[in-house]
Amino acid sequence: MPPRQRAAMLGDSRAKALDRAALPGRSVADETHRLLYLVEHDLRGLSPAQLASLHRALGEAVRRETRRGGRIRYLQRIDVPAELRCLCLFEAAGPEVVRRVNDIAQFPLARVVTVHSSVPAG
Amino acid sequence: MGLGVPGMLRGELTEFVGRRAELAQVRQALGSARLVTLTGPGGIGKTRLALRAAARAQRAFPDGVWLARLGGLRDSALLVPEVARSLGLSDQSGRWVVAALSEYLAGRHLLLVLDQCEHLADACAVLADALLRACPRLRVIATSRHVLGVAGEVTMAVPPMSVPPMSVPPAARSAGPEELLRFEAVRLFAARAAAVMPGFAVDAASGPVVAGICRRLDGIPLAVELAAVRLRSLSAGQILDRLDSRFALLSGGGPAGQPQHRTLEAALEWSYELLTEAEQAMWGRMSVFAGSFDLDAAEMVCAGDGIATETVVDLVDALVAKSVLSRAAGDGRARYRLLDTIGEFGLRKLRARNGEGRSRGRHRRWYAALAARQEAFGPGRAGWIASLDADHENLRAALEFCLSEPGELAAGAELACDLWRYWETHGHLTEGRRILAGLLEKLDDSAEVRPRALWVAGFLALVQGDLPGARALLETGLSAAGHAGDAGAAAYASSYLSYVMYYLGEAERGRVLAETALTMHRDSGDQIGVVMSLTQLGSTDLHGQELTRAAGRFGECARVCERTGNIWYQTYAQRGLGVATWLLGDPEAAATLVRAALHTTREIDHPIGVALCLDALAWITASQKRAAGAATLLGAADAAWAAIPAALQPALQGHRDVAIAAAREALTGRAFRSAFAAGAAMSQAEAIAFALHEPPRGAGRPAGPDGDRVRLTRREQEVARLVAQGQSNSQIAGELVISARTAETHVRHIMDKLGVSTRAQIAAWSAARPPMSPRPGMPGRGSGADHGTRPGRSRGVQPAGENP
Repeated sequence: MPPRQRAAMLGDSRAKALDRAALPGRSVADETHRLLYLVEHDLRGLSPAQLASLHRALGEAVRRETRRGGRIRYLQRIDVPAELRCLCLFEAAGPEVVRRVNDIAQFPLARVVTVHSSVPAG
Repeated sequence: MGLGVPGMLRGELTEFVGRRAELAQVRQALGSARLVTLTGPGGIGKTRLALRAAARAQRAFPDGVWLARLGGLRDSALLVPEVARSLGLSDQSGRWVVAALSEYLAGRHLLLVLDQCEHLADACAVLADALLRACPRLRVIATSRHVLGVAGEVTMAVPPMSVPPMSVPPAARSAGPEELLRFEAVRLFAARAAAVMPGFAVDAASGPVVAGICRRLDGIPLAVELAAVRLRSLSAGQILDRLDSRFALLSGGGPAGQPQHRTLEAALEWSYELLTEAEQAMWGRMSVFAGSFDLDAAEMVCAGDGIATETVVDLVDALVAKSVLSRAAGDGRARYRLLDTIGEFGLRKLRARNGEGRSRGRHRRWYAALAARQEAFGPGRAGWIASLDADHENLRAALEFCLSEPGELAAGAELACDLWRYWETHGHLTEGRRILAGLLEKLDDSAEVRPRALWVAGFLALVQGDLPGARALLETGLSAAGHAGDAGAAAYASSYLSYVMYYLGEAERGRVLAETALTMHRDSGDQIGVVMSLTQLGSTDLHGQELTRAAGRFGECARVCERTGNIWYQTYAQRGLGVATWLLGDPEAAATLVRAALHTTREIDHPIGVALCLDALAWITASQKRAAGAATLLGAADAAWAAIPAALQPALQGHRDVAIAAAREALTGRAFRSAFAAGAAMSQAEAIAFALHEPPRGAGRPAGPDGDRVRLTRREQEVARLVAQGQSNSQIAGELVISARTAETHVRHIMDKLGVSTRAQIAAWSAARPPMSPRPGMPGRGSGADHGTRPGRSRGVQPAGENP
């Protein structure tokens, strides 16, 4: 995605406040700058032990980034077993820190996508 | 090929001095801990200590000791690909890279040295943790300026070398030479001094001065070495006086609490000031190199602005003599390397002169020219690929420079595209994709190179089995090529998009795209594109049972290849024509064609080509009712795929299944398993020789660098390793607790078996053949790890039995 498109997307997303109820717990950024990012991982060919290792690597990468002052939280993992992939949801100050965490966990081709979350009314 | 596998331990070029206590500590630590991290500031000797400890521990690790140099790696996401490259592995599967590496290491008893982890500490820690959990017999030695912080890590701070103390009574300082030589720093100084000034010895006169130098330099090995080599032109007293002056300038300055850092910085400054202006400039300019480099590269990058090209060789020689530059261990052409600490200092000097941009630009242009030779398909392929392999770190550094400089993006994209075949055949798919993704993100939409970058990125994604990613990139590339009027890029995008369509089950659209690509290539006169398209269409016809048409396509392809010298695609054409001929009912002619392809494939470093040929010969042999030979070839092919690792294309799996069934039916279960296992246990060279009906190479002939097996006894292998470390017969005898005469006999037997006459030749053979470790590109035969692509199990999508 060209930088100018990404910047436009970030600007749009900043204008849309996140539903605080959808994100229990302390946020890594102030109310107007809570941003969610989704990273999809291909799990084809991975054994259960390797899957566990993958998630441990991501968790450790987040912990290390946080210790260094990076603003990121690993919120949720959504597995899609039938399609052998998983979706990892992060809350972070920006996509670069999410990319950095995935780099540390050795996902050099990870696509970081900005997403929005809300809880339906009722 | 010249340098062999990057991570193989090689003999040391200078004598290793001292560090007995530290070596014992490392050995003890490795006995109980699986990760030992050597820490300390730059220049303290962490790497030398780690390598020495690793070399001494080799006997305890049947699968060898391997080194991953990480100093030149800036992108933490490429840590695993770099470690894999150091192990001689290529992974084309597209799975999580850590998983693939873990599987390879899981069954192995191996020691891995991760050198210079500090700038990738988090990634190294995460990787080490994952590998140690998954690989129970793996041990790791890491060197870093900081602790990694991994559970179970044992850290060892590497101290400076011991120096004679400053005793209070002046008379006590004038200890005798024997007394002084008890101190490691003094011994190191003496060893390095004797190398530049034969006959130098620590004696009653020089001893106190040498002791003073070592104390002044705090026993920091690099600093001591830089001082010692100055005896070529200064006396020991002059060295000490100048050091005192340099340190007086530093008193009161520098970062607090980092005395060793200040000492080393002062030593580097002092050494720098003693150089001529040209030598100083040379040091700075060479600092843009990553890893090792050769003289041609040095001339290109460093000449100009006051340095004449013809003087570069003398300047290199001078800097080697002054221990600024090291001669890198290896075979073939001379290569040089700057120690990381020395390179960092040089880079600071270069930046201070505002010279970094110019030098990096020249560096980029040199390696771009290397890549642009594009000899992927002709007789010069092996040499070109070897050059790229040797300069992999520099290619990466050039691309990183391009990514960081807006004015260099287009040049970076051209360089990346020129490397497409190198990345594909050597399994650097992840690295290639990442670099191209970074370039495409920054390239302007109207950039002339953009369509090409898109289809190359799509091609790499295709080879790695990422069909959705490949489709998106290739369709975008096709569209961009159309808008830009780039017929060449449009043709390649069409060609590779046709593969994607076939795999996605849209065969008709795939055929249309392939035919369109062929027409475009013919129109543009791109003979490489023509043969590629003919191969592709031939494969499609083959799979669609249009056998006569397939034979026609492959036949035309072979004729064009012969005319244009394209030996790469000639192997595809020969093999494809062979398979078509077989299916048309002439197995003898088919086998002749496939063997011709295999013969050529052997010369061009094409692991997938070898595997395809072995598989095809297995099917043909099975159809000729030669069941035992077929089973052996099936085993050899299975192992060849596993070594890459890759898998036979699903469309061809049916032929393999038929061959297996035929062989099993004709043989007893035991006979089949035995024949299959025999093939699986062969080295690549042996498998090819078997398939080509060549006689096995006997003992006594010199072993070639491609992995021929010479049968040395276990003891003889140990002796060969120690010879490679530079040990004399008496030293070997002491090490192995045998008599000197027995050691001498072993050395003689080794020479007879290898067909060599010098210890240097034994060392060269040993360096190319790590003990029970995989041949480059062919790891894991019989070592326990199951990479096996057992019949029916796919590990990664290979775009074609006739690979693009």
